[in-house]
Amino acid sequence: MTNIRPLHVVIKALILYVLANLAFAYFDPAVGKLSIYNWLVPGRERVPYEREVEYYNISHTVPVYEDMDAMYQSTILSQPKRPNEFRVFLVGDSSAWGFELHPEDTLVGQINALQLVTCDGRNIVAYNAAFPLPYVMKDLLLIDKVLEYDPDLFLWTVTMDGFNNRQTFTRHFLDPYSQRVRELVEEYNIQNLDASQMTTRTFWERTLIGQRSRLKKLFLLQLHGFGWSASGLDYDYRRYEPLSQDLSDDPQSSFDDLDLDKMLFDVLDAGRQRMGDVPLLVINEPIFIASGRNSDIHYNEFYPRWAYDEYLTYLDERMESGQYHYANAWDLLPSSEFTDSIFHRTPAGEGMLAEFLAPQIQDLSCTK
Amino acid sequence: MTVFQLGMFALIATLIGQLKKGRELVMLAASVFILYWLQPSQQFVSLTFWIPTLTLALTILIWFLTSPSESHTLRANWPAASIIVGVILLMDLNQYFGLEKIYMTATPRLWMIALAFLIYFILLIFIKRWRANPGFLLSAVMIGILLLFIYLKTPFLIEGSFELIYTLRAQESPSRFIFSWLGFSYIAFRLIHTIRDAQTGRLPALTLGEYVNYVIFFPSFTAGPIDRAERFVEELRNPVALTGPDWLEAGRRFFIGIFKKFVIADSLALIAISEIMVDQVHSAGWMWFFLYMYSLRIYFDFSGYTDVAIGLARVMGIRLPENFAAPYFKSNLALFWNAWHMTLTQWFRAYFFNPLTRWMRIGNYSVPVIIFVTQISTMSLIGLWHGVSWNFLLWGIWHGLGLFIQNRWSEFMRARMDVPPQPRRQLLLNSIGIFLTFNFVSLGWLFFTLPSPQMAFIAMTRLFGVTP
Repeated sequence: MTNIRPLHVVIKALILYVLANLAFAYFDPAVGKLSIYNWLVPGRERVPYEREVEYYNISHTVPVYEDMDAMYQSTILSQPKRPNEFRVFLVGDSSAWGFELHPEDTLVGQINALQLVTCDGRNIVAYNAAFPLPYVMKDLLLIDKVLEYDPDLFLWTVTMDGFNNRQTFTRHFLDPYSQRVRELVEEYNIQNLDASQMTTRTFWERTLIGQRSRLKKLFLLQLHGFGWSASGLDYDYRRYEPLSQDLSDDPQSSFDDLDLDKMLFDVLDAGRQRMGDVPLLVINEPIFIASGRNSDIHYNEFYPRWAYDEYLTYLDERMESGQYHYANAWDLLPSSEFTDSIFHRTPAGEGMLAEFLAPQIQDLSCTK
Repeated sequence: MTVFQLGMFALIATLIGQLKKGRELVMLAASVFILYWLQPSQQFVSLTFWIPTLTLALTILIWFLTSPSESHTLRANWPAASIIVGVILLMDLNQYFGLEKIYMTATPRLWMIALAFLIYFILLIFIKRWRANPGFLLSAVMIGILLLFIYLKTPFLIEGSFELIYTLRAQESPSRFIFSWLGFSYIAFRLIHTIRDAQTGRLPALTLGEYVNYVIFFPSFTAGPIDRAERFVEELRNPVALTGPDWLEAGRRFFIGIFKKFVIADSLALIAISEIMVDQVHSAGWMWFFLYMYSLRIYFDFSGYTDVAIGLARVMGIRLPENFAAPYFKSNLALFWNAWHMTLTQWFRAYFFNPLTRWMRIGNYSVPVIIFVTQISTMSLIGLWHGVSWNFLLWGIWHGLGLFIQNRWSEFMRARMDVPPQPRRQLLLNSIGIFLTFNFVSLGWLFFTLPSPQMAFIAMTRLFGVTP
């Protein structure tokens, strides 16, 4: 014991630490696959998401979108497919994910409540693969990932806002996958997304130190599994004010210089190609249609009538020319079936949408 | 404290440990600097400067009162006095340096500091002349510290003072007040200990540097352990020479402490019982799970800090006392309290429990009455030391009652067991004892951590499958 030289111990420890970092960066292990969900605690019914950090503990959630393995391993979607199961994966934004809704009240929950079966008698089971962000390129990445969980049908909810070619979102969601985004853009010839500006992770960023934030979130997500299991809560349900039928004189609008040709509609084509022989049903989401003051100019605080009408025409034509399976539900719901935003629906609204989609889901389930 | 701050402490401690000369003075400079550096944000910005300054003023005053006149020579104390004044001035001068990352820049004007020094110096001269009755002065100061302690630990008194200040300023008072006297809980114990030992003639003569170093020793001033002055100063005067294994041991304690606090405890915090958990979780099984996680969390948190303090002190040649000795593996509550926050319980035993017991014995009270009164009052005071609230009082009473019942049970059994049990039976009894003690302590944490007694009772009923 007296022969131990502290400096040597410190140097050896440092060397081991550096080696561990280098090995982690080189091998880039799929640590996100390690999960206590679906094993020690039940899987979540949708991917972890919470708007504010201070609510993590309340809703027992830590979002780990930087690691899709961890994100989906924490859900029931990653469970092995049952023999008599026809798997329907829903991708989309916050309304598909189910803001302000308990899992059983979401679109996925309502589809499952209908207990649909395929022509050959398999149970149609819907899974929520959505992440609350209105951005089709994000959806393409999700589709690219969840294909490994053996889907039989995709439902892809879209809205005009999601086709916007906005760069700010890329920082948050796309950056961790910049390499894969570039590959998808190149492989499927996505025209309007400029992936060249995206940064690639350096070797340093791939080390343990560089990945510490992701690893910490991944670890915390596992810990929150206990809270989720004990409470069944995965979201902080907050009070909200019902939407007003009267619109302001100058509603927010990012469509003043609308150019549909510059939007990301070709991502839909890329998604369908990426799905291969898995059928796809594109759903144009219901939106809140106001009936009060200024509603003759705007559908709601978000969409001017002229812009949304242009979008509807464009999308219809594109769906028809591309021979997509398409469900246009934009005006399906009365305005009373929306909650805190023009996209988010009530449980009853979700039920109506599920019933609207059910025949098409059943038809498509018989083609595969 | 952050990992960065603790890392800086480790660097400072290692440098101090290397010094052949002047270790005491450099340690003093580091402790005074860190006293200011660690100050949290306050309701009034100036308090971030005045609170640590008051800590130093109080410490020096009590050194002045507790040490013999021979210790007050300028020759023995000018280096320490210069360092203390120098660091205070340096911190104040940050208004000109502008080093915001180290300390705030909104420090008081220099003339205010000069005035404060002058008033303080006049006070010391006045006290020196008035020291004909030092016993009275010491008692008065001790009562003053106790009153200050009660004030600082009573939320409504603090809130009332701030509201009064806002009213006098004709300003609207905020809904929440931010005020904290960092480390006062531990500093008060050290000050009271030296006052009591000075009164009984047990306190050795200390120089200003030795005394201030003892009270605000930077590894331990915020979270203990609570050392004894004579032991601390002995090592300060004759620091233990560090060998290779000592360095490793110090490093081991430091890094284990960091790991316990920042990895284990902070992770367990997410699954430890809380107000939100009680509201959301209705299954008794999960409630027990979260309660146990809290028990582990508080242990790893507190013992982690202790490990860090012991490791840091060790590289400076100071051996701080241990504070924890596997408390959750003790087979009864008395043993638990001999292993949990040991320096605190030793302090209370020396300065409250033993004197009270002696006093009651003289009064010819029966043994059960003595035990009941001393246990309940000691544990209640330990509870209230954490904060003057019903929750902490109930936590103290819970443990006081537990200790009393355990004492009576042990007496009852001792009278009936004339031969010690077989080893296997003893093992079984110990295991049952550990289980019961851990669960008793865990249930007590409900009062400690939940915001109100009502919520603690709700949680307790849920734990036993009753939904109120």
